[in-house]
Amino acid sequence: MLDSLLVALAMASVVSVGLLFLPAIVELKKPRDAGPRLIADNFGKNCSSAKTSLINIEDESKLDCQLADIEDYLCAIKNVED
Amino acid sequence: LLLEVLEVFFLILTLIMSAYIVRHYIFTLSVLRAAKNKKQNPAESVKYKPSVSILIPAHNEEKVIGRLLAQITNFTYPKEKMQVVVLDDASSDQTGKIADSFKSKYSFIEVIHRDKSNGARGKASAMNQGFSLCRGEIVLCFDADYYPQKDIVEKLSQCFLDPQVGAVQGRVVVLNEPQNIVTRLVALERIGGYRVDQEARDNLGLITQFGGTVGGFRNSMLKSLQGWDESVLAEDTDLTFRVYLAGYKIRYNVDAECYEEAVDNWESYRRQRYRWAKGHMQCFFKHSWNVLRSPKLSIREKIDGLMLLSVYFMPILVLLSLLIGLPLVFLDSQNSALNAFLWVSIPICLYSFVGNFAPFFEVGAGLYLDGRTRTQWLIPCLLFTFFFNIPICLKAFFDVLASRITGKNRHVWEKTMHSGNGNCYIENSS
Repeated sequence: MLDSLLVALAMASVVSVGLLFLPAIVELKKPRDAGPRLIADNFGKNCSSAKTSLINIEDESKLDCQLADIEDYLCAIKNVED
Repeated sequence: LLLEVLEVFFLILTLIMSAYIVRHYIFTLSVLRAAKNKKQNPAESVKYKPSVSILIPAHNEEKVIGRLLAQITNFTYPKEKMQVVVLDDASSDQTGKIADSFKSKYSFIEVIHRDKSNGARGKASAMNQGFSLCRGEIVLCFDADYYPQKDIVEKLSQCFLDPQVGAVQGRVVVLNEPQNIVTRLVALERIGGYRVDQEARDNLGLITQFGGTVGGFRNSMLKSLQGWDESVLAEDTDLTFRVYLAGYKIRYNVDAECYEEAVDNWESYRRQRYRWAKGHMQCFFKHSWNVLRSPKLSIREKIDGLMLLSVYFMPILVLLSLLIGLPLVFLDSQNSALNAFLWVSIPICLYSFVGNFAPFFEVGAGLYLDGRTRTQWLIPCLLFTFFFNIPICLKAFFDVLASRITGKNRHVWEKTMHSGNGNCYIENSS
């Protein structure tokens, strides 16, 4: 009984350790947040503003698509009502 | 009886570890709380602009010295209040020539060439020679591989408005973080240490540590302390405690950021950590008694000071507890197997959470505050550096012990070589 408990504990430990390191392996293989953190005022600001404007454009285009979808739904509902 | 002694010893070790955990939880919570209520204090609004001397020791730094001097010429601080002293410490490469070329173009840059007869004896020796030429009210220090923000002098010097402040420390950020796994793990350690640990000590009025670079001193105070102690390998930690024991304080400014080129291979990592560990242990033997009986330190400063001085003993305590845990498992017949398992697993878990110097949860909090996302996934990899530090600190301990017993000071300064691998990140970004 105790032996099987110990074996189970050991196996659980191995699996836990594997799971623990899995995200680290993924990040090391395909780094998406590897730095360096931008600190120097001259280029730090330029990069962040460029990123922000890019995000805004993406957001706006997403919003346009969503609005178009909603419009289609509303038209469909109207057609059903008719 | 032996088992009982071992059990008591084991429990004492566990209690010490628990004390460190509590300390670092307080640090982490303090910084997370402070981040909520943080008010911006832009450096431009500061009117206090004392004269400043900048000391740059450089031994064979041809690949990095140019970028630092070029950045210094772009500093926003008034040049008429700045003096830059470059210490070409017996370099055999182009370091001296590069520094001289800057000197010929900028009147506020001075260069001292040390030859082999008086140079290459360690950083403290070079700093002392450079310090004798410093005219500024404030003396700032930058290592040659560092790359500071343009307004860092304003940010650091504003702390000296308070006359009780004798020294200041800024934040170190790893420049070549993407290079490989070593630099990424060093970056994690730096984030834990500088984003959380140092800031918390400053917030809580504990012992803020001067890191030897990206920081500075009040000139008059440093003169009264007679500069750097050349016999200690961790001259920065030594100076930290001498500043506090003299009744001054050290402030930390997390916004005064500066890039460093981190070690990029395990051998350099080992050599650097060995030097830090040995130096720190020297400081422990030199200052711990003075810290305990100092009338100028509060109780909390004394406790934190002793914990800071002992931090490089932690990996040795980990090893000890594991060694004690094993005989407790195998020899104590009264214990069930489950209890035995717990005896071993408790210290491993406990000490793993503690980490060696910056605990894992502290690194996580630092990453969160920096807005880093997937880098948090690397935190478990700190286990490797955690175990790697055990033999490093053990060797440092025996070497310090041997030199104390024999009375022979066999400390040799092993300089960290910089390959200029961080340059590409600066060039790409600009």
